[in-house]
Formats: sequence, C-alpha cells, structure tokens
Amino acid sequence: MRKHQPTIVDLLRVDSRRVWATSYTVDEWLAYGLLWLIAGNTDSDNAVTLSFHRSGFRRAGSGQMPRPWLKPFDVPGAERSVYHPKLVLIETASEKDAFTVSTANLADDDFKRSRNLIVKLDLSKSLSHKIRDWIKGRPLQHRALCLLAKNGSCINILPAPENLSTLQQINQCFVRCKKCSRTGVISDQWIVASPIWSPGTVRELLNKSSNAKLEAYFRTSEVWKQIGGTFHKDKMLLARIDAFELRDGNDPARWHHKVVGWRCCNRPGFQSALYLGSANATTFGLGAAEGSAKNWEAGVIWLGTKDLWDRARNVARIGYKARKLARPTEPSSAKDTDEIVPDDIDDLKRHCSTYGAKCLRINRASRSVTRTSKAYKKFRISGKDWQVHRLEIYAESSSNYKRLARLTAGKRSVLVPAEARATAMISFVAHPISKNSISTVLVDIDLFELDPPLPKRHETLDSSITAVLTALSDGTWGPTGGLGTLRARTRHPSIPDIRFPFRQLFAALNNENRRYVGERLLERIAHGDDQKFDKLPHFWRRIAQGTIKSTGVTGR
Amino acid sequence: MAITLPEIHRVCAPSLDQVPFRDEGFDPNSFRDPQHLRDALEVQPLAQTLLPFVDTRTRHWRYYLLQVPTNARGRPLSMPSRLIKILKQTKNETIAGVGRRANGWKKASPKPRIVKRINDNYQRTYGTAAKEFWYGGPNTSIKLRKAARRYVLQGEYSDFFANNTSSQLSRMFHARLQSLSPNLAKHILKHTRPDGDLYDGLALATSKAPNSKSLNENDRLLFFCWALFQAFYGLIDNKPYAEDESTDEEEPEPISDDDTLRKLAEAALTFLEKLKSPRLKRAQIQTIKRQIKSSLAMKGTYQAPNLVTRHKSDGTRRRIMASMRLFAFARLLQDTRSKK
Repeated sequence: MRKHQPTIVDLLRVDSRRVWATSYTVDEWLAYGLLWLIAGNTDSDNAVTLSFHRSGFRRAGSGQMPRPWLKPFDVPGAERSVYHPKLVLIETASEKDAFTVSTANLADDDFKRSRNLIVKLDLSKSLSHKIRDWIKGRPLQHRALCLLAKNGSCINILPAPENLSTLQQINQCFVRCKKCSRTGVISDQWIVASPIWSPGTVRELLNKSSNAKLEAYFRTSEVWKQIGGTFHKDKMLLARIDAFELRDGNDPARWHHKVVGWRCCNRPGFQSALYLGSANATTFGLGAAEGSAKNWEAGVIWLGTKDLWDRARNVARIGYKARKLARPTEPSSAKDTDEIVPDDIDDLKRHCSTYGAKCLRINRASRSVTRTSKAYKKFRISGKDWQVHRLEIYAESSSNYKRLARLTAGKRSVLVPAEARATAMISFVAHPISKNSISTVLVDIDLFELDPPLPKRHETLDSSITAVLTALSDGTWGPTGGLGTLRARTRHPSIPDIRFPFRQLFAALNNENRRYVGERLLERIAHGDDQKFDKLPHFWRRIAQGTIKSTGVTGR
Repeated sequence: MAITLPEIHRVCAPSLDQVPFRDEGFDPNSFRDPQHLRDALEVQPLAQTLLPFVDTRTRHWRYYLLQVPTNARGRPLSMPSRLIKILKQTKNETIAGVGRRANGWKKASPKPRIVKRINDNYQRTYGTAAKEFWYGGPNTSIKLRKAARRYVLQGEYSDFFANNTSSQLSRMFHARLQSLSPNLAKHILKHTRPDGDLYDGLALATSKAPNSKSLNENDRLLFFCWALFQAFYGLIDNKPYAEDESTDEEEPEPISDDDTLRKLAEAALTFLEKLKSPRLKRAQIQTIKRQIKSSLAMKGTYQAPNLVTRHKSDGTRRRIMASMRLFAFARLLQDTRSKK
C-alpha cells in the first residue's frame, strides 16, 4: 500500500460529461461534495445520475443535492435483497471512459471511519455503454455485474443471462494450472475478507473438494464464533479454515472491504484470481454456487499467478495486523443463509433500514405515507429475529419539527403537509433480547421523495470566482494547495482578487486532460447565460471573448 | 506479455472545502462521530482549564500525596522505591494502582526495568495533575503538606487503595480539592450522597445545573457536554478508567438505567435552550434537539440517537468521556469526603 493514497477525486480527474454512480447508502453532504467535484464542479440537473438503495439516503439538513440526480431503487421481491454496487463511471469526451470499482458507499462512515479499497479502470466506449445500461436498467436477470480486467483496463463483462451469482461467475472464469488439469485433483485455496458472513458461503467455498482451504478475515471474533460454531461438529471442515481478526494495534479495526483471492493449488506455477467488489461473503452477496444472485453487486476480477496471490493477501489485510482466532468451542444457532453482522450499530441500522423502507409506501401525488403489511412480519439478522416495534412519521419545516402520527394497525396512513420534509422513525426489537448484544435499533428513513424544492443558492462575487478557479484548478488551488487562497494575492484581506485567471486557464488549456474543462469554462464565461457567473466582474466576459477570438478555442 | 498487478488504493476522503454547499453550513452526518462534536464544543480544553488537577485516569487520591512539595530541610522522597513498596504492601489488590500492568514482574523481568516502568506509568498518569494539585490555585495549607509528607515517609501503605476510611488527611485533601474548583465541587457535593451511587448523584447534579445560580457559564457547559454525550451517543460515563491506557483488555460496556439516561437527555435539551454560547450553530442545535426529542418520544428503553458501540470506537471512544474529567473529579471528592 502506498503511504499517500490518492482520493477518488484524484483518480477521476478527467473531463466529465456525465457521471453515473451507484451506492448502497448515500450521505447527502459527502455524496454531493464528491459528485460535484467529479462532475467538473457543476450541479446542473443532468450532470449526475446516482442510483442507490431507497432506504439508504441520509438527507443533509434541508437538502444539498439536486433531486433530479437521485434515482432510488426500491428493490422488488425478496425482503432481504439489496442494491449494493459501489461504482462511479465518467463519460468523457476522449476515447476511453473512466471507471472506479470500490467497496465504499458514498457515506461518511465508509470514507472517514472505515478502511475501504478502490480501483480505477479505463473503459472502452462500448463497455461503458453496457455498464451505463446496467446502472440505468438495474436488471433482475443480471444482478451480479462482474468485470474482467487486465493491465488497468476492463476487458470484458462476464455474461450472466441466467442471473448467476458472483461466486458462480468467479468460478466460471478460473483457469487451472497444467498440473491440476493433468492430475484432475482439485485443491482450491481461498482468501476471503468480508465484514459480513454467512455459514452457507463458507460451506460453498470448502465443499467443492475435500482439500479446499480457506483463509478467512473477520472484523470481530464474535462473527467467527457464530460462523465457526455452525461447523462445531464437523472438525474436519473447521481444520481447513484459518480464521483471522484484523486489528489496528490493540483496538479492533473498522474495515469494510470485500476481497476474494483464489489459487488452484500450492504447486509451483499455480494460477490465481483476485476479486474486489461489493459482494460480502454471504448467501445474498457472493451467493451460493447453486441458485441465482440475490443482491445487486458489482466487482472486478483479475487473473494471474503467484504475484497476484500474494497481492490478494496484502489487499485482504489492508495494512492491518492479522490475529489468528482459535476454533470456536461452542455451537451456534446461525442458519446457513443468515447474514452474521459484526455487533456494530451502524451495520445493524443499515440492515434494519433496508427492511424498514419496505414497511412504508409513499404516494407523491397525495403526499401520503402508508404502513404496509411488511411492518407486521419478522425478519432475521445476525441470528436473531427482529420486528418493527414502533413506526412514527415526523415532519420538519424551517421553523417547526413535530410528530405527525404513529402508524399502527388502526391508523395506517398519514398526509405530509406541503413544504415539510418528512422522516420515518422506526424502532426494531430483537427476539430473544440479549444483555450482551444490541437488542433494540432505532432508524431514521428520510422520505426525500416528498421534499419541497431546494432553496436557491445565493451567488456572490466570491463564490463565482471560486467556482471558476475550482474548475480550472488541478487540485492545488484551495486552502491546502499551492496557489494560496482567494485573497492571498491581494494586500487587503477583505478585498477579493478579481484578476482574470490567465495562469490557471492556460495551464488547463495546455494540459491534454484539462483542455476540455478550460475550453468549456471560457465559453461559459464569454457567452453563457449561467446564473453562477452573473456576479463575476464584467470585464471577465470581455477578456474571455477576446481570448476565444485570439486563440480560436471553443468549448463546444 | 507480462501482467501488471492491479493498482488498488485505499479510499481517502477528499477535501470538500471548495464545494459550494447550500446555506446549511454544516454536515449533520458528521455528528455521528463523537470526537467531531467534542472538538466542535471545545470540551477538552475547557475541562483542562476547569479541572487541571484531575487527570482522566487518576483513580486513587493517595497517589497525589507522593508528590507533596519538600521543605527546604526535608529529605527528597524517592518515588520508584515507594511505588514498589505500595504494590508489595497491597499485594492482595494487585488489580489496583499504576503497577497493575507489572503483575508477575518478579518472574518475568529484571527489577530495574519494572521499577522504571511503574515510575513512568505514575508520572504519565499523575505527574501533571498532582503538580497542579499542589502548586495550582490558592496556596496549599502547611498542615496538609506536613500531614501528606508524614504519611509518605511513614511507609504504612496497607490502606493505600481503600476509600472507606475517613482520616484527617483525607479531610484536608478534600478541602484542597474543593478550594481548587469551589463552584463545581459545591454543586456536585450538594447532589451526591456520601454512601450513594456516584453516577446517579452526578446525573442529578447535571439535571439541576441549568438552573443553578452558583455555577458559571463554563461550569454549566461542562455539565451540558457530560449530559449530551451520554444522551446523544450512549457513551455511559459511570466507571473509572484504567490508569494505564496502554492496556489492551476489552472492558465490558458500561450500562445505565433508562430513567437516568432520559434525565440526562432532558437536561441536555434544557441546556440547549438556556446556554448563551453553546459553540454550535443554530442549525446544529436544531439537529441535536430534534434527534434527542425523537429518542425521548419513543416509548420503551431509551436509545441514544447516535449510539456508538465498542467496535465503532477505533480506540478513541473510551477517551471521549474521560477527557471531560467530571466523573474523575466527582470520584475523588466522593472518596475523600467524610462518611458521617
């Protein structure tokens, strides 16, 4: 791992025409900031398409993100399926489009408090179109999107017409070494790091052959106790698992990446593979070898040899210390399809809110919220049965915050007043209630579909100049950058520097990767009716027009 | 053709300083991180100013006595040998004290190294606080100095970790503690009983603090933060912290009863209404109020709106409440107060 890691904005510093992003959860503040930067400092309505699981949106105050950007996905059918991919695709003017596959949601927790991984790939236009279609269409019959990559480029999308799970697709693209093919003996070895596990997936990985081995990384030893406990009687199977907990010094580490490493055997010349993506090691994530994919997941696979296998271990450990875990001594009651989550309130909340969103139906036209029949059923997380305990709707306006109603069997529906932002507050209770682990969870679900229009942003001279300079910058401009602040080149602290930014503009025009941004911005300053630039000094427009005339550049 | 390995990076959050956010001015999701809120409220420097003579880990008041200032004619006190003596004389209580990490030192390590380790632990934990106790604030009484010096020189440390004895020395120590922060001490003592539960007493003192006339704005702010972090994050502050922070033992989660947490949540709301400079923007205050009110409105067991569990801590969680020093101060007061 490098010491100075590039940010997602550094990785995707290309001339963007449109951004396509997917995430399971979205924290509006962070997501808006990131997408604004990635999209080339614009918040026009068609600059970004953000697809996410409907329950995962967390509003920032009275709202930041243009609502046309938001494409929530209310997952149909099975209760526990989630829309889980974490992708960013940038449509560019050049031959290749930029694309990242990551394990981080566009959420504070994943960006600031957990460790996650990201990889940038170049895409041909035809592949880019296919991925865009997948993001737009969210197909029922190709839920697990697996890409095959080589040398920094994505070379193919694995076809999955029968809705194959991620694990099935990974299995299909394996190439075994000559010795394996000759002897016919299968002795797969796996490295899997995942915060959430299902006993069924462990069984799937190891049941393929009696020699298969698994090096498993868990976030906490409690998860391993529950997973290993299900194989309590099968000592032979337990002996084939090396379980580790990743630790940050003496503290439990908080990580969120999902990595699968594979090699065909341990003989010299073995073949290996590495998967990085959104799929957890669960029946709904990686999936079962038999049966179809449940979650919408996306990941990338590389094929290689010894180096890739070593890399897989490094990537799985993500710079943390691995502590070996002892075999569990007590049996566990977890079922094969259970998703064992670390006893972490955030993860529990995410799971509960996924279910909670299904307990509500929103009617935009009538501005009503209705309690559905799902609210009366039990669901299962971490080996416990959970149920909705209380469901309340709150409304917030600029001056008031109040409870509108408690939705019960008797009162199933409530109308949300105009100009109010509605939030559902649901408390869940687990059975049996345990003193040692969390048994009650309180989740907020922002009903952003009913949000009033966002307030207009006030443009000032400062903000207009900032917008121009940010668009022209190469990441060095700003409070931490090399060019200083907006007022750095003026003598008086209260007078903004209004000189035309020739230096940054020509730096952009002379840079192949930034040329499009420079040209487009010049065009907008010279001829555009962009409200954002209305406040700029008037002579900027004349200079921009003159520059276009003399240099012949065009932003179109 | 050789296959290059994939360039996989760790995800880093970029700076969002340049982003023109709408007029909200803060990120409500950042409130999920208690450290962020603590820094926004500037609690840590406040506690350091108000209670410099209390460290987060100072559990045993008699350790303060070891740093009693020497008289011109008095012989210097050799600290390491006395620390070893304390451990030897209280060997049935090996769990207590700054030397507890050195359990089994006789077999495992050479003595000089152990002595150095214990001394380092002591200096790290009690060094600054004890110095402030003796030299900060109004002058220390000669009587206290003499009594403390006599205690240390006598070397009778069998009762070192005991809190159930009431002596003249403990009374003088208590008076000194009170004189260093008279308003806070008076308010806490008024609402805690000598034999009662300290946490419940402190919670009661907190709930009365918004209307107290004896407390100034900074005192009230400290009480506010103490209530807010428990009601908002569920970080229960009802147990002493380890003297040696390097311990890797995972302690069980402290728990609080429902009534106390509700009381603290209500107190936090009252503070938010009354505090003149709560160091938060209006929108931030509204967000906190709204979340606490929602939790209070829910029937059943109170659940903090941004509950922080052990696995989310990244090692900093236990230090968040400790950095307020309020519970540590109340404990020292309780331990040294007359039981009659």
